[in-house]
Amino acid sequence: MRALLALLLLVPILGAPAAAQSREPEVTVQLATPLVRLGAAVPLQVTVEHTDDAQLLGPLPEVDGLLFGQPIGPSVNKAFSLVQGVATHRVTVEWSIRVRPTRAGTFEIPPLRLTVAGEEVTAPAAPMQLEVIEDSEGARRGYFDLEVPERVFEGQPFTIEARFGFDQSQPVDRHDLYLPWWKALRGVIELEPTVLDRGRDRIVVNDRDETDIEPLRPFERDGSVMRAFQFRSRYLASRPGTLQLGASTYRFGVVLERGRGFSRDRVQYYYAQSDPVEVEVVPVPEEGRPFEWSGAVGSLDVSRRVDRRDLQEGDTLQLTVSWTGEANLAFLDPPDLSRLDAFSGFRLVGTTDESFADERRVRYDLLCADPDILEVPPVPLWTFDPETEAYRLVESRPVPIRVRAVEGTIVGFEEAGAPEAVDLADVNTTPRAGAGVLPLGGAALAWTGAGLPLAWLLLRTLVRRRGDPAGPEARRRRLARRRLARELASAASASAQGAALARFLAARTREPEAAWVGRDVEAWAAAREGLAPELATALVEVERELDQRAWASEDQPLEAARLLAVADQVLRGGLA
Amino acid sequence: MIALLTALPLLFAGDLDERAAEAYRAQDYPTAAALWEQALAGAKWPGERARLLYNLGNGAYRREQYLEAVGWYTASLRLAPRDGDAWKNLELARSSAELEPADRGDLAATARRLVSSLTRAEAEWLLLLALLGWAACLAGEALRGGRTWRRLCWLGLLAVLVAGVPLGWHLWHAGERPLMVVQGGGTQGRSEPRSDATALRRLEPGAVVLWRDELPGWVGVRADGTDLWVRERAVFELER
Repeated sequence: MRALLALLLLVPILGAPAAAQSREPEVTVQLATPLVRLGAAVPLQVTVEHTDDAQLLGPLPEVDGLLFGQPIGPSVNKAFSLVQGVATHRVTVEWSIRVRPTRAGTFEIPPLRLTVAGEEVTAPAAPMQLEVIEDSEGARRGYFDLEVPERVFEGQPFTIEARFGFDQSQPVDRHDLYLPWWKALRGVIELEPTVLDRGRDRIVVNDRDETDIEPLRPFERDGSVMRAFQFRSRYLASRPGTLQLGASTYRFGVVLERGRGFSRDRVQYYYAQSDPVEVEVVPVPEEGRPFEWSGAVGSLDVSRRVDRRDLQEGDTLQLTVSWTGEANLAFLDPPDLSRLDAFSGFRLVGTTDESFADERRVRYDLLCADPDILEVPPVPLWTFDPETEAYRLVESRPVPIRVRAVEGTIVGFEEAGAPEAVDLADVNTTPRAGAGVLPLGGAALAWTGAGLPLAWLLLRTLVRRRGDPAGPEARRRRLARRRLARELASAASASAQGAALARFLAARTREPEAAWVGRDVEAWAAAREGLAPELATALVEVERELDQRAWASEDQPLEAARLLAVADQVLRGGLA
Repeated sequence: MIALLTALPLLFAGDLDERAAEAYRAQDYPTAAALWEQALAGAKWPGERARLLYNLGNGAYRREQYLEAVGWYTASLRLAPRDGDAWKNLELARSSAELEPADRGDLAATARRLVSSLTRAEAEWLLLLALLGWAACLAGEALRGGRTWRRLCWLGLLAVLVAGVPLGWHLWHAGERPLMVVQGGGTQGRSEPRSDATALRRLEPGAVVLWRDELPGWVGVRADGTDLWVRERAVFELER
């Protein structure tokens, strides 16, 4: 029974989503209000129902006089309800876009593009109308003045100064600023605030940031006493062009009713607008620009100090130079004293460079190398002065010092003051006579390269007609003399010497060794053409002597040198 | 008399050289450069031309024409590739011109420097030496045969191939007329020799391109396979 009841409950619940999904998606795009006061932002709500497959397509429309913020969302809401057995499944996707007018008038906002369930749709069907009216009450009760220089030079720092406030006879509970150019200016570098720019209070800017503001002395304006504030923001123009600062808004309001629980306060807001302003950034002129220009732009003052004024030759002096003023202090190149002739009596051994919001401070460590030095010379810095629109030399005042001479060499001076120099190798003034290596010609080399294998092949073929020079017999013949010398060196008897000589002769005549055992050498020599007669005689004599020694003289060996001499004679005389 | 007539140009060139050196010592670099250029026009031998080109490089460097100095040194090294002073000055000039070093020290740069370290004539002699060695090995193999001689023949062939690489490099680049971009900031390569012709690509300072054609005031070059026209004054001829 319980299972049946559960099933009855689940059927509508499970079936409901399918029913909900089947409904057609609906798209609604509408402004929260068609009428708004200048300075106030109006939300543009985009709602898609019955599907969560929706996407807002960019870019957002551009309407002159209206600024569109980034869409907030998508926010997806899914709800399920069961009322009297009827299940409802609701899916909603929402975006919110803040539209802020920059001037009064009537505006048409074109339809927005979305993709819903895979299809592209535009909504609403007709353009939306927004009427923006001046907040005359806000303009009467408050004010907002924006002050910028009309023209600055590239590299010149400048200040955007905003003054705003409200009639102090009227209660004001909260206020904030809307600055369309805040953190959005291109071609500028935001500088660190100086002491002057820091304020005692804080204010919200563009609903997300906070900045310092300085309360000013109340003053009378159009018959009302105004409570006034000021904030300053410093920038440095980094490229020529025009900086546009759109109309800015000061919003101030009084709480009509405090919210309770989760409800918000009910606030009556007023809006005071500034006029849009422009800053023209022009390049620093090239005419009259000195080579030594440091890149400094602005009005500069310089001061200097030294840590000591009475010192000995070889002592180190700390010279601290400070540049202050409204200039691009962090971006200028401080002078390199090692390149200044005036500082030739010093050696620069170190530099410490520090940059602050309103000061550039460089400490030079100088080694005093010359006892004739009477002062620390002025430190020059070329700057471009935007007021006079001319380049100006700013010099520190000289500092009188006394340097006492020291006898002998100053230890460490050479090491500290003489950095390793790199320069060109000198010109060569010795003429180089002669043609040098003469070219051979590529063709001759090519023919040589190609001819070598052919010559090799030819020679190889010719040589091998007489047999393989690398064959065992040819190798035995070539090595015969060396082998004979080796065997004679170890032979202890005349018979061993006779055998060695027989092997030598056999190798040289390409015969078997046995052919020379007991051979009639005279007959052999007579039969062999071209053999010198004295060679045959020498051979016969040495053979005979070896035989005699082998058989009659206790086999005493002959002198090896004599046998080798005969062998050489054999080689020279026809058995080569 | 004939000897005197033959020696006259040399004496004249020597006089120019001396005057150029004197002007250089007096820091009159434009005069020194003009005199060395005159001497260069009359110099025949590669060694002497390399010396004059090197001196012209020094003159350009002292005039703070660093890119031009790079061009002169590079031209000098093409004739005397192992001149240590020229290499040193070239690297210094490239550094002053904010170019990357000519010898970056990596494998490719080292190989290129090694292969191009001989002049064409030297490369030919090196190959001839290797061929003679190979011929000796072949003769040995033909007369004596055997495994050792055969191995020596193969080694000789390998030596010939290796010794042929520098000459091969010269042959590969034979006929080329390289030009170097010496205009500060580079120059624009255009499709036609007109100022208003389409700018096809920018050639950076120090880039080396190959000569293709020329018209008054313009030079047709090839850079990475693209045919371009550049202003004549923007490029420097390296083959001198």
